Amino acid sequence: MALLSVRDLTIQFGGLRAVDGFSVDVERGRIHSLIGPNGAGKTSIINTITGLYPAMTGSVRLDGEELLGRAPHEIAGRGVTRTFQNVELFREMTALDNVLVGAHQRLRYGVLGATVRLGGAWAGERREVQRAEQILEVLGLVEDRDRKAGDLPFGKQRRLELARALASEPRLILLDEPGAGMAAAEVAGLNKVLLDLKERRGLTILLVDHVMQVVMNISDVITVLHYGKKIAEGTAESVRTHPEVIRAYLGERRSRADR
Amino acid sequence: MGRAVVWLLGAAAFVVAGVTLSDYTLYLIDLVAVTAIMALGLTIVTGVAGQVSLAQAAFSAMGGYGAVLLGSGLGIPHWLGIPLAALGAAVVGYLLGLPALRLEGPYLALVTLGFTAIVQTVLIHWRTVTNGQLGLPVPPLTLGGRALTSGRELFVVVVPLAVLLFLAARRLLRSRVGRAFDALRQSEVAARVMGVNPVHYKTLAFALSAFLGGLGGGLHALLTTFLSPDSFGIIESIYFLVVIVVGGVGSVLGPVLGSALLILLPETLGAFKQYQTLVYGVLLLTFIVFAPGGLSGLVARLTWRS
Amino acid sequence: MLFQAVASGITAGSIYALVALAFVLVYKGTRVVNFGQGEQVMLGAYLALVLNTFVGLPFGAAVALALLLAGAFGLLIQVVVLRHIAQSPPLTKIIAMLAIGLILREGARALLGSNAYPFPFLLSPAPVRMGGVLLTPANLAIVVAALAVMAVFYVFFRYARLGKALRAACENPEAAALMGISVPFVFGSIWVLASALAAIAGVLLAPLVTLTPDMGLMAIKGWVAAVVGGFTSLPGAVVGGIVLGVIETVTGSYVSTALKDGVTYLLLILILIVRPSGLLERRTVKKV
Repeated sequence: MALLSVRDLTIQFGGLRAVDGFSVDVERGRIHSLIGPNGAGKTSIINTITGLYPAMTGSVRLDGEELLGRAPHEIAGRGVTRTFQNVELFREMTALDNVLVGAHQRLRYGVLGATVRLGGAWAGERREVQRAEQILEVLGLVEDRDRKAGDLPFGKQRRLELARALASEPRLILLDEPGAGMAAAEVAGLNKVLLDLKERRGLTILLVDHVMQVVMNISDVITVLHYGKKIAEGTAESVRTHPEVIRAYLGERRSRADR
Repeated sequence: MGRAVVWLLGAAAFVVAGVTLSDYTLYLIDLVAVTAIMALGLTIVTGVAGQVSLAQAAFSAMGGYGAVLLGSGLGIPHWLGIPLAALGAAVVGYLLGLPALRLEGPYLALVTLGFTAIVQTVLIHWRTVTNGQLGLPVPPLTLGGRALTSGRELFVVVVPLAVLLFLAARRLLRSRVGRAFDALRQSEVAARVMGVNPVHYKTLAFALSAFLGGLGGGLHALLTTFLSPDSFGIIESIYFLVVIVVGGVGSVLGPVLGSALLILLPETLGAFKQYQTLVYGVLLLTFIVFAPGGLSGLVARLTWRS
Repeated sequence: MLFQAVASGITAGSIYALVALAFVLVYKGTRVVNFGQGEQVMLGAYLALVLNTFVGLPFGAAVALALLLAGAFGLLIQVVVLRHIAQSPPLTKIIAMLAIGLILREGARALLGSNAYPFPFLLSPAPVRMGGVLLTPANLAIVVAALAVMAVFYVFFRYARLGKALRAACENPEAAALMGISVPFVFGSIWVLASALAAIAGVLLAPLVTLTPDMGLMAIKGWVAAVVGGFTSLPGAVVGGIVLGVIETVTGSYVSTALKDGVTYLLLILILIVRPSGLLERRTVKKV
């Protein structure tokens, strides 16, 4: 069974149908990319999978369990996490605290535990701080551990968002244009991290972007979206030469040829 | 090691102050401590969790009136009645937090404003219970058969209690609960997606603010020895806002600095005492526009530099 | 008896409508919730009082000048304070407006004391019987004046060039900016208008209540009226005001005077709980 099964998903904003009858299977341990021009509905799909926006019809199943209709924090509890197109960090918190929020559900104590330190709350905190530091290390952010997230340079902010998302040890991670605004070298570094996460931790990654070049090198499967509908799906090579895809991107190609 | 030294010094200072300072000075310190407790509640719900609350005066009223009524109606002594009244306020606070889930900023402020107005209206008109505008005298706290009425006697109870509450609050704010509050304020969307349940934490923040408001209110009643509905209106809720804005919105130190300034200020104004509320307003505006970090923010900046 | 209550209710309601109108105008135009609105109402009344009683101007001139000064003060608030904190979090704006209200209230108290002043009013207080209902000239004057003001505003926003420009800027700030309408100018104009409106409400209110620095606290009724009317609709504010006035007075007459105030606040809480979507019409999930 695929880890994530989306069937006939339709998302509507007022009169506008952003996503129309979309279906996809994201296989376990794969990097699956969803691409399409701006406005194709990619972010809407992520917002709906994570429970931030309702779907009009359709179903989204994680390992057989329906996600639609559940609250975002419940979906997070089932092991789905994400990053945002425009970085949504907790800007006034330190990098470490940002990551610790990502690990929120890994700890269970409440007010009593926090103030009186019952139930191994303190031990749990220390354990999570260590884990958080390890995650920061993997993403090259450990020296920035005590810096405010809002003070970090943009590239590091993107990496911090990824670190925060990884903190909950998710089964599925949804990345919304993770490389946008990054320099080429940083993108290469990011790709390396993502491949590493897939290969060594068996993480399943659903990546969304509108630039083909970003995803070509690391995706196992690419699904192409155009005006809310799927128009192609397959390996990078097959999708690149697909006639429908070329037509959809024709404007882009042509303008590039004119330069 | 350093921590133990701080504790020892603090305890020594406490004993020395309790013995040497005048009763009036100790009374002022008691007022600062008690106001700080109530303002701490506001720090948690508004400063950290980002839920605008203008209901603190109402919770304070519930603590004060609640304790007195539990005493006169059920014979419950204050040392039990005040915490019970505070718990009752916490339940109400939790319920008030429910509409908070769907309301933002100004709308939430309006609801909490309306809530305070309703509570005050009830206090004024439910004469059979609250004695209305005539007010309610507050019997003293008795511990071990002894009535504690002077500033010095209450100092021994109020200050250690305040210290305890503040330490607990600091721990809370550094824990996952505090992080959840802070995350909800800074980016509710990201917080929810990271697994923070907004329903749970928003209502919890309100409940905590109500508990502290009620507890502080009960203690405050002991100091003023008289309860009157006029002391628990919208303006009084705004006072607490002044305290935390001037003291510093997000930190545990804020309520302490803010309360100290606001209570000691009239003492320094002398002949101009009547203008104290006007000064509060000016301070509030000045701080919120030019120094949103408040006094504790300025302190932090200074210590950072050194 | 019911008609009497309704008549009084409409009188009070007209004033609430004016306050609500000013409130909604500022909110719609500048996205600021004016928690100091009540004190601006009080300011209008006090300015008129001072100009008439202490400076010696005839009543009409005093009122006109008071409106001018109130409008100028509103502009001052916008330019000096609000522009400075335009980018700050909402909490900052709420607190700043509360602070301004506090300063106005306590400033009035400091300058003129807490005493209630009688407000000069030209018409005799003798009631007149009209269709089985006792009306004082004050009631009539207030309703007529309020209606006149609302009519002027309606005409202004519908037909005057400036009014149409302001309306456009309220509905769609980006498009208006593209069309050359200066945003600072719009904000400033809105504050001047709303402040003058609040001042008029104050002048009309003053004969009905005692003139004290705390009279601004009635603004909460204006806010409730705005909420009842849907918060972002100008006609809604008017309807809300009148409805609230009538409900309040009828409750006061038939149930109890104690509940009269309480019903207002209960209404506020009920509406905000039950129908919050009507208020924040722009409240979609934040675009992420």
